[in-house]
Amino acid sequence: MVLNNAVWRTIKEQKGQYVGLILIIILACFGFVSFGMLGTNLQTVCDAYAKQTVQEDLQFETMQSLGDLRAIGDAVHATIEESRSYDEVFEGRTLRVFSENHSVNRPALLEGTPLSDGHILIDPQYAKSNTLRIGDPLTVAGKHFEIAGFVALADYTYITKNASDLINDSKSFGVAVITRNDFSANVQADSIRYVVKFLDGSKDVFTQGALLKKYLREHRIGIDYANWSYALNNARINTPVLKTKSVKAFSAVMPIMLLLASCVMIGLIVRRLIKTQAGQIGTLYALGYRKSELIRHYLRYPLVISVVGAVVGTILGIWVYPTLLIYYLAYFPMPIESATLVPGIIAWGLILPFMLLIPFSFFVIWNILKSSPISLMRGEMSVRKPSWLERSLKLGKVSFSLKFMLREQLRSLPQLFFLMVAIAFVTVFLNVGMIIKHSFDALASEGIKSTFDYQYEYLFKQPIQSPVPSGTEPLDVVFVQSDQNKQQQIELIGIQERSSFIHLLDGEGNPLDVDHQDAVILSKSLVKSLHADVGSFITFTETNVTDKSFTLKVTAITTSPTGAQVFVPLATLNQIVGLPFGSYAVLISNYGNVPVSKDQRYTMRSLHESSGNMQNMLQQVMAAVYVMMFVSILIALVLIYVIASITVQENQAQISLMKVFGYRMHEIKSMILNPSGVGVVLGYMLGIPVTLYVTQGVYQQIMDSMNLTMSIQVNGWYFLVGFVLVYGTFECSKLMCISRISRVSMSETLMVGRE
Amino acid sequence: MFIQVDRATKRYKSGDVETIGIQQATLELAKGDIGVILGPSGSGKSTLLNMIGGIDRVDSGKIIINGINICAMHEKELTEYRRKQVGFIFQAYHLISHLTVQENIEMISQISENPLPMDHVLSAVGLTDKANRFPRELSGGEQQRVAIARSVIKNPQVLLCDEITGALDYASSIQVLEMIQEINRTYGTTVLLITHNQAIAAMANNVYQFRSGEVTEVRTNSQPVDARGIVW
Repeated sequence: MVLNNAVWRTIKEQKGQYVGLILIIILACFGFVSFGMLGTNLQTVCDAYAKQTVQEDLQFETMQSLGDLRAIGDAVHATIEESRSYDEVFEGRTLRVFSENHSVNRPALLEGTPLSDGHILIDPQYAKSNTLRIGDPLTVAGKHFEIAGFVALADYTYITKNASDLINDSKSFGVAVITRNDFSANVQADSIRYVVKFLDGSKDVFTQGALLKKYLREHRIGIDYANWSYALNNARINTPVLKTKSVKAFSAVMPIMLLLASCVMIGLIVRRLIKTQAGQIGTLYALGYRKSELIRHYLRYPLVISVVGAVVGTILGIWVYPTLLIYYLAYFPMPIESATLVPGIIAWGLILPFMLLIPFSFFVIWNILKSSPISLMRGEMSVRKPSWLERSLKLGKVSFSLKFMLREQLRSLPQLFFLMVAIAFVTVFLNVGMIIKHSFDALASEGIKSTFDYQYEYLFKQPIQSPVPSGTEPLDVVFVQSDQNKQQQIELIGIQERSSFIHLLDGEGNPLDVDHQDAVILSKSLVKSLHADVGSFITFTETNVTDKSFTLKVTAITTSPTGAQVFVPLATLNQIVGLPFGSYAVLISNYGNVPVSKDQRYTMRSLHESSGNMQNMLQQVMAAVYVMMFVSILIALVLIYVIASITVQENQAQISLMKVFGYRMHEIKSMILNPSGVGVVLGYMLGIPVTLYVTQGVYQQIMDSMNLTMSIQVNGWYFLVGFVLVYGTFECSKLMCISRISRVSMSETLMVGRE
Repeated sequence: MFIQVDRATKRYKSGDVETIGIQQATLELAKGDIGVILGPSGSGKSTLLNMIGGIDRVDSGKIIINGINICAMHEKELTEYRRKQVGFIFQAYHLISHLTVQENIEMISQISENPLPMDHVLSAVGLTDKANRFPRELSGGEQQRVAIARSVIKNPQVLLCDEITGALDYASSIQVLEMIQEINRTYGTTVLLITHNQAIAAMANNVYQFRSGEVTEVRTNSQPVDARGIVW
């Protein structure tokens, strides 16, 4: 069809708009393909890794060896392996060295040669942060080893020093593995751990875990076991899995939203195009062109945009995702042979723009072409009836410029609505990262610090009854499950009355204390997951040793940023778990040199170190936040520019007329382009509550995954900066449109409508 | 002379094809007079009007308005010239559809230095009771009256009218022409009106016949007739 020659000419003429739209579709397809393939590859890597290493289902520690592991394993249908570890501490760094496992949590070699006596394998993050290379010497427990390669450990996929740490500083902590021979010959183990892989796929791991515990108790084997931890609750194991889920969710939601925005814009552009060509279309109709032929012609515009956007975006996605995969795997060391292309995702990346854009455009075109040839030729489509809103608006006293702007907006309410939604979307994308970052900042610098107001925790191997050293406070923690939510691990913490180090507050900011023996203070995060409130009775089961069940009545709720924790008096806790009066397993203090027996002490933990790790994490978060901000500004620029250029095109006649009447350029610019500012401002305002809602949801999810409670902390300055950025983008897009306004001819437009 | 066009020439080029807009066109019109340019379609009448109005430029020749050569003006000066001295009325009205009658007129009054009172202008064009209507809600004649009011409110020194009766029936055309004459008489506005309707020439002081871009004949009416006396 000769008519189709016009497609390229029109696109060339209005290249700004079309390039903008193609850019949005490229972004959408790029996001869909790269993050989709990243998610799928991460999933494959995680699954293959779990299989290859025989990743544990459960681990626990004991003071003594369990003895015949094969017999225990046979009895409970599990493979059980002993794993010993030792912390090599030097110059403020800790390298946790493990004995090599053969049945469960087998080390996965990432680079180098397999492990042999006299050699050590270390994790690549620690190696990189401390500039250690393969072949370098390394001393552990006074013996010299040679680094044979880099390793991934299945129970340290996410490498943190303490199980409850949010993030690790690879400079100061890493893991390594040596042979069992080297370990037993040279190293005195700090702890004995047992890692368990259950073999009965028909039962869940919690049931099988309970059977194992029952078996051990009945046979009185290693009754002092501790830190009973399921892989599903173990952040060192499940963090990559959770990240994979969030990557997959992101790869689906974000591109679809961008494609939907593109749909609306394509609709606006095609609609405007058909309106301006209505006379020609009417003539073609009258000369015998079929509606289907005209529809096919106008569908070429979204088709061209979809083809270019989908192909370029998909190619970019395919090109970039291996880099993203390597970036992710740098944080979760796991072996990967090669990044795998996922044909399904590539196909969807190519098809998705067509699936959304073509039907939407078809609907718009079909709807317009319903008009008769005569009405098309008369241009009746462009002469629309004023709406009741336009009629009822009385603007007697206000200035003409304001009247004009208001009328402009009322005339194109769908366009205004779209701009508002687009800006609201950009506002969310722009601010959500900043607010979460600020909330984390507040959580790290004020929230946790003001609640847990101490620097050091001294953890004992067993509860002790020794006198409490001065400058310290005793506490004890037992892990429990509730009947309401068996998957959630809850800490039941026994604390001292009128504690100087733990300050809990209620919703009104009043201090809470465990000042009577029945006091039970529930953290806010548990209110939701346990469906509990003040006065509720909750039945807990101690999961570590006894599996004993008991019921507590909630006397208060704390909104302080704590984890999934229940606070009771230490004496009450001892009574519940059957420990002698005055027992404690932890000392908290602001002193780093409390005299405690090294035989009794299991470990010492510095909260300052955790806070430093949090700062490191925030720095990493900031990089992602800046990328998000850049992308959102880019999207805003394209969206506003496309809308502004459509506005200029739609108002060509008015611009021409204004020029003829002697309006100055800056007056025309302000009258034609400034009305969109209303949409930008309203969209931004609309975006603020949406941002808060979305951020609250995202933050809550993060808090839930970390078993913490704290509301988002909003800093008004971020919204102000965000507004300046968005409005600045609007001003930039106006500048980009100025040349379009200057190009509008006075005489040519005035010829329109002459007989 | 208030308007002097001296051997103005304009050519349009489209690829290799060159079209003549106007060729050595010359005319003069005194202040407060009405001039009518007659000619068939495509003879260059509108091109000349656009040049006098400062919305297009000549390739050669001069256009002097009130003693100032507008061909020497740069863009900003031309904008100021149109803003302060020129009123335009078009055949296609070119009203802004989403502005009311009053707002369409206000569009010009707000950029004028000494606009006429709105009530006065609305009353003069007989649209006081339709001030809050939208253009779509008016007849063709009424829309043209809005266009006239819009041009007149700034009290321009020169009023350029391009085929203003082309789309109107006889009765509406006479009404519109009466209005133009009334404005000319009341405010001393110099009016240049182009049409292909020979009958309208009777109301002019000067009549210029246009053909193929050239002024082929100039006539002077010593006794211009009243618009209401024009018949076709």
